[in-house]
Amino acid sequence: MEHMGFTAIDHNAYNSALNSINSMLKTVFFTSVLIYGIVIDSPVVSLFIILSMAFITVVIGRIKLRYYIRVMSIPALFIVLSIAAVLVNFSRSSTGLFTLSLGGVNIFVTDEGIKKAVCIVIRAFGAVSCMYGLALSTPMADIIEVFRKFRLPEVIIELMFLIYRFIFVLLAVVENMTRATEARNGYGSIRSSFYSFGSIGKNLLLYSFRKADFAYDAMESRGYDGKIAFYSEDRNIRLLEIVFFILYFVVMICLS
Amino acid sequence: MTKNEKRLFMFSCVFALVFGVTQTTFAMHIMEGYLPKTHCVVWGVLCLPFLTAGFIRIKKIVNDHRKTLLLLAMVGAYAFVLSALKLPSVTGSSSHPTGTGLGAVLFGPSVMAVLGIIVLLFQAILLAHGGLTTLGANTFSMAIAGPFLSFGVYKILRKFNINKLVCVFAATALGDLFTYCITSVQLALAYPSDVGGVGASVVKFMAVFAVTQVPLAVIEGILSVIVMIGLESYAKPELAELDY
Repeated sequence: MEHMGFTAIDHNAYNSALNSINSMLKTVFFTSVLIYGIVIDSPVVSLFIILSMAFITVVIGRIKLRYYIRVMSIPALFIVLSIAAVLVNFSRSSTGLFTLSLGGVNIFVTDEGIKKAVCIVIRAFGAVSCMYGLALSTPMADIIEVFRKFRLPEVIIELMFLIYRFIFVLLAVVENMTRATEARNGYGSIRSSFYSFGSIGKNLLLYSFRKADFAYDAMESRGYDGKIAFYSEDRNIRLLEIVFFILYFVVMICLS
Repeated sequence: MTKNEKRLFMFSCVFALVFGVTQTTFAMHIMEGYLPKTHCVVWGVLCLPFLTAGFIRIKKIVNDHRKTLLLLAMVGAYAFVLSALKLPSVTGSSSHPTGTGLGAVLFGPSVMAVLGIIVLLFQAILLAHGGLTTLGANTFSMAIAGPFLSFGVYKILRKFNINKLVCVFAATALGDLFTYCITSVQLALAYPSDVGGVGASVVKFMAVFAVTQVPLAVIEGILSVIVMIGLESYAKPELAELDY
């Protein structure tokens, strides 16, 4: 994958078999399931969401299972650290299911704490799988187009499109800079890696100032007057998709 | 396996999971689905005044100078790319600065709030850092609280005629620390401790995240200063334009 793997999700979204479905329908479907899962907050519904979203993304969308598991592990550090904080309690007097005494202070885990932690993890991964369902089936440009249909101010839409475009421009530059730095052993020691990182940060900012200048000149010479036109395709919504949408919600409501 | 071996195995698994698999994690982006529904809504609503102020400001800037729209877009893209840059050989896992503090010092905090929410949305969808329902909470801590504090610290220190670079270091490092405190409070409010309530919970979350966040704040400060020195020697006209 190009750009140090940082555009891998977008790349997969373009290649997903679900990419051909109307982007408005996909966005509404995945976000409404996401919101429903969080509002209902029931482990059964969330488990159903985790399994069904994996099915939708991997089997129907034909995203590689290995890749799907890899993106699922991205929030792992956050979940491990924050669940530890929910689980572990400190007190001088009370104890719980497992207790560790350290110099008069009891560090303990309660039965209830474990139940709560399990519920949070399941709900969080249910929500995460909805987000991945959207991210791995709808390219960013289509999502921005959906925002436009929801009448977000035009300045914000333009800003989003431009940022999206410039991310790829800058990533290509960073890739070259990083490779050049590595080739010169720029990350050899902590001292030099700080220096190298700072230099890349500085040069990248300078580069982006200049590039913004060039982009403006180029746009102005092509008649830019404050409105940027973007290409978008409208895809038809099929009956089968609506039936699936309704059935999915019927199953979720029955489970909760 | 003996009990100790089992324990060692478990420990190495957790270690591998934390430091191996998650090479590019922001520990402090609250993940999707972690916050209960009311918290998602409340933090989102709290962001609205700042976003509106930022939006009005951006609209005004863009009306006066069309070109600034491109500059702002570049800064947004820069913040995104900078957050994706890895800083090797500092810790086992990679750590990366957020760049919003420097942005606030250069462009003003309300503008950073709008750019911040867009960048956080992109990070959620393109990098799976953060989430959609937690966008409000993350925006509040990273794109509003941190930048506003950075900006305030910078302006106040400048009043006392302290060296610019010292100001930049203090502003960006403190902004980072403030972001981390706010996130801990957000998490603690969502999950107060069974014993000791919200207060005890804040302490727990801060302790857990201090491991990655305190060194990161110092690193962010140092890097911002290095970037600033570079900008002062190579981009004087651009800086003058920004009224720095």
